[in-house]
Amino acid sequence: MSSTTIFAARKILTMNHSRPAATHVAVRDGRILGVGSLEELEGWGPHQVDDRFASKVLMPGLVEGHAHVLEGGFWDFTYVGYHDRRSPDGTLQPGLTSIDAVVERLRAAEAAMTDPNAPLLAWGFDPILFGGQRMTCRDLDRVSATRPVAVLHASVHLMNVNSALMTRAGITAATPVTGIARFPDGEPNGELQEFAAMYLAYKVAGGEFFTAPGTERAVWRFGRVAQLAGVTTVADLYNDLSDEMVGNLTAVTADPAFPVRVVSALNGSGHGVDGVEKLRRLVARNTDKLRFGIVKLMTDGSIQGFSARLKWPGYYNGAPNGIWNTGPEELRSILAAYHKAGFQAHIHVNGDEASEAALEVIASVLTETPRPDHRHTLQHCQMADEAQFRSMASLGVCVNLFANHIFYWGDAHYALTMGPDRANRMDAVGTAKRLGVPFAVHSDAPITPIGPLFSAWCAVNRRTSGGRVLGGEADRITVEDALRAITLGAAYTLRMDHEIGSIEVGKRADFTVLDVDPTEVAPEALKDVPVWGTVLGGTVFQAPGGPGGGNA
Amino acid sequence: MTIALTVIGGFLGAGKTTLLNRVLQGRHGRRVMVLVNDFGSINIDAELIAGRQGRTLELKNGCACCTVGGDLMAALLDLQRRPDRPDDLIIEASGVSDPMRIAEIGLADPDYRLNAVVVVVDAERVRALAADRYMGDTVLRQLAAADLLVLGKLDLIDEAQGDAVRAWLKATVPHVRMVPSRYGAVAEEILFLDADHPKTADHVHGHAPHADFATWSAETSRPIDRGRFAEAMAALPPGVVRAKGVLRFADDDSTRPAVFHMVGRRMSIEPLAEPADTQPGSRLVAIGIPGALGPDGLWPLLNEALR
Ligand SMILES: [Zn+2]
Ligand SMILES: [Zn+2]
Repeated sequence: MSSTTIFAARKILTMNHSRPAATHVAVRDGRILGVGSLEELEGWGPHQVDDRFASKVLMPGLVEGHAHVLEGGFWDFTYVGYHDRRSPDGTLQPGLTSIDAVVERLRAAEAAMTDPNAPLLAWGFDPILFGGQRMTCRDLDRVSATRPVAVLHASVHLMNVNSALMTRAGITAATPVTGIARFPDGEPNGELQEFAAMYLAYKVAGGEFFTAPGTERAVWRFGRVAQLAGVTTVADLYNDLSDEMVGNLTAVTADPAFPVRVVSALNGSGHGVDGVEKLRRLVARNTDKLRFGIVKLMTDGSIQGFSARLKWPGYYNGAPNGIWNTGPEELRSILAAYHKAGFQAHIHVNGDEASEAALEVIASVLTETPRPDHRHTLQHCQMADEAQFRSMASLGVCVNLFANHIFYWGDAHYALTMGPDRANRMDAVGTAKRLGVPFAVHSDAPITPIGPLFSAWCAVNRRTSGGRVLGGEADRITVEDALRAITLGAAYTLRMDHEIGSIEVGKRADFTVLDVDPTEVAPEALKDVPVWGTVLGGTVFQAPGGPGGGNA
Repeated sequence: MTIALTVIGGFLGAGKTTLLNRVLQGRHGRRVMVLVNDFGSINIDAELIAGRQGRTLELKNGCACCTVGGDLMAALLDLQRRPDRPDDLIIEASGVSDPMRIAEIGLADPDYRLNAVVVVVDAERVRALAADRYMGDTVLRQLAAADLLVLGKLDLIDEAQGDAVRAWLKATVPHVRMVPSRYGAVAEEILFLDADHPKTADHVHGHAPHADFATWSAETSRPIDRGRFAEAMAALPPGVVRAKGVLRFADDDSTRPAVFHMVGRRMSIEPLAEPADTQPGSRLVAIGIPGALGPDGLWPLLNEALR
């Protein structure tokens, strides 16, 4: 007979309405045998009591419903973001709040390199947080005059490079492509965006940005970063799922030391209708720690990159409307194929024109082929208005809102992209809650750091990095609702709410171990609740370096 | 040796793949690589494919191979690492992308020469699409990017409607050149026009019945004035859609002649990089819709450009 462990805790927040709080949880075969008091659980027979969490608080394991393995790949490179970030080994990478500090960290990284020709690659830089001051090649030339240096922005749509890189890439004042930013005298200043300009830089120095995410090491680091933030299930929401990648995911997740469950969504926009068969084959390879069966579809670009598709009146600063990566007509034919095959679609929509088009497409596909409980989910969905949320509710569509954007880019949305009206209602968690649309909140790591408690904090407080609060009381949600969004809410969008997301009998024994009770701290302190570690299928994983701090 | 880059754009269903198949059927003895937006949309005629491995298609033609990448950036970076670099790269842009954004690579990367941005237009739907609330601006961006418009689906509309579409395109993108796709054989020549051995309609193989296009050629042993030549070419009537020349300019004392390309409205002149040209003098070939040039063909234009 298998052994039974009863974990004792100061408090267990279950997310189960019939038993919201308890002190003990019994685990057998990696699953939850019972929840209650020690007395209530003893009836299951012989057991051992594990009271290492006697002073801790247990929650259902946190679920990150939208991130990317790319986060794991990026840790091959130097992190130069504005905000603190925890690296996979648990050490804190302090945020760099001046361009000089960025240059300093790059100089240190450069000094540690042995091959004089190897490019120095960095990531996570965000120029909009320096109050209008832009980094240029003059800054990066202080890092090296000979070695190519490329710094990818947090949005991944722009980069800064040094003069050595531009020389190798042949980028001069005469280079006839869009997206090369210039000094007043017309010389390129090293900031590059758009396809051709980025290509010129990648060609001489950035190829590793494309190969790093495909490795086993990237999967390991992705899992570790998630675990440090208290996550037990993480969605990798856009993957080509090449044979090699599937092999890596399978091998890594099968290792008992790998601390999270991974849900990997097939890149359906790239595979088109052909991907249906591939997804069928992949589902047969599902394990308890690796899941296939979701297709991710693209529509527009990003708001901060001015490539999202906006409805009238468009961008606040007058920028032209963004671009489609997949237009509504093609979206319809691809969605219909996966929908008819019984798969669930997660659709990237940033601007409100994209969410409107996606909802029309879903309505049309559902009219043709009704399917109960499809749970197609709009991802990001940052600008949807109330009418669109009403439409989601009536169509049975879920939403995973990009709450972290409120903090990271809320000020830019207020001043530049959306203007006050639409920025105030962006990532409308309050509306989703009020209209009964099943919802979650996410990080989209590596775009922002993975950290469900931080995402929940954003949904509760709606505070920007500049200190502005976006929207009013009706736009916010309670701490309780936010904690539900990062557990059962996200599990529901992944069609795993029968397995994970709450602490109740029969579910997987996945817990997040906290040093304090998140429902007792001030709502403004939710992001600072220390994560001691996690329990995955009954196995305890202490976060390296002990209790981690907040994620912001 | 620079790679000639051709970007084929146009809305989903306009006929990009049909055009691509015509191009790939051209017997040309060059190494051609094709990058398409996604596997689902590539429908290269089965008879052209010798083998398929992962994301690479080997074309029977022997001189051509075709890599299919879901991520264009990654595919382009991968191409650079390949030992067997092609003479020609054709990128089929996705139905919603602005082909000029991709074509810029041909302007900025010294490894490439931008041959042309060819946009395939669905003559039946284009005006409705240009007015579509979601896709309108995208379609207009594509039209504006084109050096050459290939008008497909004209057989689905009557002549008056066809004329109306042409007039609308002319007003919308005034400088562009256009050719109906029933002159489909033109497609092969867009890439592979040979100034020394221009095909005439009789030589052109093709499976679908199509109207014959016209070929004009002219040669001279006298040196050419660079400025006047450019003016003369810019004055070519819109029905002339492709030209190529091997030219000896009066102001050029090098022994190497220059090579001139015109695809639609895009023109380039660069030193001939191919194996040394042994023929003396200059020669010019053009193709287009019959009747586009008068009975003397290119002669009057070339005469204008002589010194
Ligand atoms: Zn996205
Ligand atoms: Zn994402």
